[in-house]
Amino acid sequence: MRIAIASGKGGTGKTSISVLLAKYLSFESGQEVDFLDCDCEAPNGHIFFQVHLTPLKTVNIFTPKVDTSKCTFCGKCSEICRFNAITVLGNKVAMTFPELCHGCYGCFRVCESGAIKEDPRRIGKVYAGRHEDGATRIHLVQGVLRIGEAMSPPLIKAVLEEGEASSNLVAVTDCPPGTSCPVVTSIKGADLVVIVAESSPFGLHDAAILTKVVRRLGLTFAIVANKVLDENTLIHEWCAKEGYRYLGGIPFSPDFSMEYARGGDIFKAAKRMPEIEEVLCRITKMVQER
Amino acid sequence: MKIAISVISPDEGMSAVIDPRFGRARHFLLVDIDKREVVKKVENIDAFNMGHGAGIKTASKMVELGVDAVGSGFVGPKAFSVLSAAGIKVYSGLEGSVSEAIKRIASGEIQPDSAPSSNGHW
Amino acid sequence: MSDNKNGPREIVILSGKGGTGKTTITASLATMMDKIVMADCDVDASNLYMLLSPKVMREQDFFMGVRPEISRQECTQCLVCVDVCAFGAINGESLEIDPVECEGCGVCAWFCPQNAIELVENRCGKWFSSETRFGPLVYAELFPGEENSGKLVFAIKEEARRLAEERAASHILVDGPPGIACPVISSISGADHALLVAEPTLSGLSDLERVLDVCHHFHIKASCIINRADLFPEVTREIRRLLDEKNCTFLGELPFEKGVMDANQRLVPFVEAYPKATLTRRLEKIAARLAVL
Repeated sequence: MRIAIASGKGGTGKTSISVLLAKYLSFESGQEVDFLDCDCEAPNGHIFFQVHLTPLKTVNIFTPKVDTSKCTFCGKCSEICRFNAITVLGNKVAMTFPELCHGCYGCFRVCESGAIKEDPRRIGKVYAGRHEDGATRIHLVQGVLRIGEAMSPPLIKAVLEEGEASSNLVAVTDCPPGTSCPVVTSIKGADLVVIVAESSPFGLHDAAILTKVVRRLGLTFAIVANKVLDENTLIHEWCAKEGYRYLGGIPFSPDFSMEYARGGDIFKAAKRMPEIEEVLCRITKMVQER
Repeated sequence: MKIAISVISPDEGMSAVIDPRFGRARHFLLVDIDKREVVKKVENIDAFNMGHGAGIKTASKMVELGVDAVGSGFVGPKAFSVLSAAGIKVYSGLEGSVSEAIKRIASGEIQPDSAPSSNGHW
Repeated sequence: MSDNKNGPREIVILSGKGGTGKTTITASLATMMDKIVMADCDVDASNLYMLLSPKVMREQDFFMGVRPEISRQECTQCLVCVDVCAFGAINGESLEIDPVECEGCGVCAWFCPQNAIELVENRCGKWFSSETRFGPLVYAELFPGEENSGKLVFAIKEEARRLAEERAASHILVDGPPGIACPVISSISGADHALLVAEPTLSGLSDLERVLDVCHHFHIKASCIINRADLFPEVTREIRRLLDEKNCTFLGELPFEKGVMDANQRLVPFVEAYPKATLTRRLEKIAARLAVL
C-alpha cells in the first residue's frame, strides 16, 4: 500500500504532511512505515526524523564508451542515437557525450563490431536509515541527485524499488514539485495520491494540472487544502465543483511554520491543530477502505 | 582555406549578417578565405529542431562538409570538442557581415580559439 | 558566462526549494525595472502570467521528441521491440506503449523486422509570446505529465532574447523552476546572473546550498536575497554564513508581510497592491541594484 503526497506547486507543505502522515500511520498500526523521499533534487524529509542515514547504493545509468581498436567508424551508433550523445567523425574519431545519454542501449545494440562498451554514469545515491520514537517506527529511504545531473527519474525508481523490497505494509512517498516526468515517476503505481493544494490561485492552478496527470494515470486521489488563510474556501469550492474528494483544510499557522523552519518538533505543533489530525484520520480511512 | 560561417541572411552573400549562435544557426555560408568568395550555401534545419545536442549535430555536419575552419558568435563546449577532435579551427566572437569577418581573419587580427566561447545551451 | 556579451543581461530567479517566493518577487521586480522582457521557465507550473494579466500576441505548438506507433496490420508479434526496449515501455501481451516509460529513443522502430513501428512527432505543449503593462512576457504550458525537457525552456528563452533584442531591452528576467535538474540547468544556461530566493527554513537552507553548487558547477555568478527573513532569524543567520562561505553576494533581507498572500489572492503584484509597505521599499532597492549589476 503506497500513498504518494504531491502538489504541483512547490512549498505547499508536501514534506510536512508526508512526515506527519508516516508517523501517524505507524502509531495507529503499531508497525514500521516506509518513508520514501522521491524529491531527489531537494530531499528534506530526513530533517524531521532523527535518523542516521547510510548510503545504500549508487545509481548509475548506461552510457557508451567506444573501443576505437574495434570500431569500424560505420556511424550507425550516431545514426540511431536521437539524443546526440555519440558522434563519429570521418574514419578516425568516435566521441561520446555521456550527459546527453538517455541510456537506451541503441548504440550498443546496433554496433556490429562490439566496439561499444558500457561506461556507467553515476546520477545519484540512495540512502536509508531507521527512526524509532516510542510507538512509531519509520524506515526512511532517500534519493540524492548528483549536482549537475539533469535526469532524476532513474534515481526515483531506485528509491521506489527499496520500498517494494521492504517488508513493511505501508509506504508514504514524498514527491517532487511540478507536473512532469519526475512527479509522474513518483506517483505511478501508488494506491492513493494525496494532492496538497496551497489555498491560493497559484496553488489551485498547479493542483488542477496535477489532477489531470493523476487522472490520466487512472490513480485514486484526494485533495487537502493547506495554508488556508481567513477560512478561504477556494480549494474546497473547486473540489465540490469538480466532484473531487476533499479531505479538509489546514489553516496557515505561524507556530507550525516556526517548528518547520527550525527542523523542530512539527509533531508537537501539529497536535495543537485539530484540522491536521482530521486530515490524517481521513487519509487513514481511505487507506483502510482499499 | 574553407571556412563555414553561421549567418542569418544567406542570400546576401559576402554581406550576409553573422548569426551569433553556432549550434542552432539555420544557415551557413562556406567561404573560400583566399578568394574571398562564397562557395556554397548550407541549410542547418535538423539541428535547429533538436532538443539537446544541437551543437554536436552541427559540428558533425561541419566535419562532413570538410571545412578547415568555422566562424560564429558563440561556440559551446560540446561543439568545440567535436570540432577540435576533427582538427577544425574555431573562430568565435564574430559579428557584423561575413566580408568584415573574413577580412579580420585573413589579416590575422582574430586568432582561432583554444577554448569554447560559451558555456553552452542545454 | 559571456562577460563579453553586450545587450540585455539575463537574470534567472531560482531557489532550489519550491514556494520560497520566486514568482511573487519576480513580478514585483518586473514592475519596478525599466526596459525588461520576462520569461517564465517554470513550465510545469507557470504562475507568473497570472499576476501580470498578459495579452497573448502569438501562440505556438511545441513538439518534443518522438513517440512510437505500432501498426497492428503489419505487426507479426515477434516481440523484438519488447526485447530491445531498455525502459520496459512496451507491454509484451497487449503491445501497448506506456507513454510514461517511453523515452522516445526510437530503438524499437529501428529493430522492428517488419518496419511496423512509426515514429511520430510528439506535441507536448504550447508557448505564448505576450504583452503586459511592464513589458513582453514569454511563458509556456506543458501538457500534463509530459517530459519537461530543456528544449521548451530553451524555446522560451530564445523568444525572450529575440524580443529583448527587438525592444533594446536592458534585462531579461527569468522566473526559474524549483529543483536542480534538467529545467533548472536549461534555465541558467546562457544566463548572466542567478538571483537566489532563500527561505529561512532548514529545508530552504539545504536546498539553497544545492542550487548554489549548481550555479558554481555551471560557472554562473549568483546573488541571494532572504525572503521572510524576520520569521526565523536563527536560520537566516545560518544562510548568511553559507553565503559568505560560498562567496555569494548577499543582496538583502525581505520581511514577512501578510499582504503578500492577500495580493496573490487578488492576483496583483505585491508592490502595486502595497506601494507603501516596507517590503516594497526593500524590493525597490533590490531592483535598483539588479539594474546595475
